[in-house]
Amino acid sequence: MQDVDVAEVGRQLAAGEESALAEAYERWSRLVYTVALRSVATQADAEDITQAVFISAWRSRASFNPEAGNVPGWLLAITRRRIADHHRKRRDEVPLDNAPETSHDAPDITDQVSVADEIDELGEPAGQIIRLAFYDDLTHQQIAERLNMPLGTVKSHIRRSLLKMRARLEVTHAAAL
Amino acid sequence: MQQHCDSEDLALLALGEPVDPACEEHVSACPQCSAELADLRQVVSVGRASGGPDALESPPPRVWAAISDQLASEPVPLKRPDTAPPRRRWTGLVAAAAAGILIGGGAVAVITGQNTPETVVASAQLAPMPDGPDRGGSAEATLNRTDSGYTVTVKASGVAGPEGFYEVWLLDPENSGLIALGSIAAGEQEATFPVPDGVDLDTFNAVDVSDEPLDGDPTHSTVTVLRGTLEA
Repeated sequence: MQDVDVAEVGRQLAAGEESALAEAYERWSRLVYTVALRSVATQADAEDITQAVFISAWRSRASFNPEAGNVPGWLLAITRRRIADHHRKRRDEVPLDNAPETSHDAPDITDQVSVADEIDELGEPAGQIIRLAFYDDLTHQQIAERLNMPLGTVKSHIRRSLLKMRARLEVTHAAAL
Repeated sequence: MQQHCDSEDLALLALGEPVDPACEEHVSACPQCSAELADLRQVVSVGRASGGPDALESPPPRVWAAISDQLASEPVPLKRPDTAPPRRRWTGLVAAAAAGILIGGGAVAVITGQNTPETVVASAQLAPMPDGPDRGGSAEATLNRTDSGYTVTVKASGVAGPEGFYEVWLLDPENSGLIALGSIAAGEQEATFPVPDGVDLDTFNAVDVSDEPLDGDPTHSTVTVLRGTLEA
């Protein structure tokens, strides 16, 4: 999935290349849609939000600065605004007494989905190593045996991958400001 | 004091694996290593809670179909009404979609336009300017696509009356461009104005309502009472 690098998609999008929106959709619609699904009540609402996010992204592409941010972080910032709008509209429709008291500010959802997306983009064997460490709870020795790799290679993949995920979280947080 | 932990050991510690005891002992006494460890643990816990890439869900193909359908009818920056038809612009994107951008392939259909008589394509909450008069109430503008072109509808409630009359404008905020759409009579709650053909709605993307004196001067009075940016 790493054909064109993230920064290049951003530059093309800012320049108004239509194909860049299609590329952005292919790469990050799961990110946007999954965050939306976990933040609103129905699948139909999540679909509407996903649609609105990419339409907004296209319309406001001129305001995207490819030097200062990356596309997934920017899309998530738009997603959060759309989700907040959605909940605000809902609240306005419901009489105040019946309005549910919920917190719609859910950075943990965007964090989790961002990290899942980053793991997806790690490439192999890093992605597989992280999956085995995270979800199968294998130690690095067990991973090394299973994949028939030197211990040092496994360790360095683990470290580099964790740093990539951390960097992704930092970008996600920066874009939220 | 013992030297700092090996960075790979910190990563393993964050995963909950045992490492060199000298490092484990050092971490608790070293602010730098323990901060790094706390950071990495946070990443691990978010990553484990995320369920990983398998937990990411793909939107159904109709979502992209709706996006490309909507963008296919976006207005383009036409300087003259007789240049290329707007639909041209999105053909590349629609073709890309048809060629398999839609993940999962399969039932990819609806790309051709379903023309509803009027579709809201963007809307704006209108609000007073920070340094302008506040007439109270609330107002909303929508940009609508109809079979015969675009219209803007302004709905207001509880906004106090104008000193002269209220005029509605499309605004290009970047270049301070203004296109007059028409006036709203005092007390009127809702009005719809046709948008002249060929207006670039990517740049004329804000709605401005001004209070105009009855002086016969057709230019903007500079007294903006409400303004908002149209967003999809």
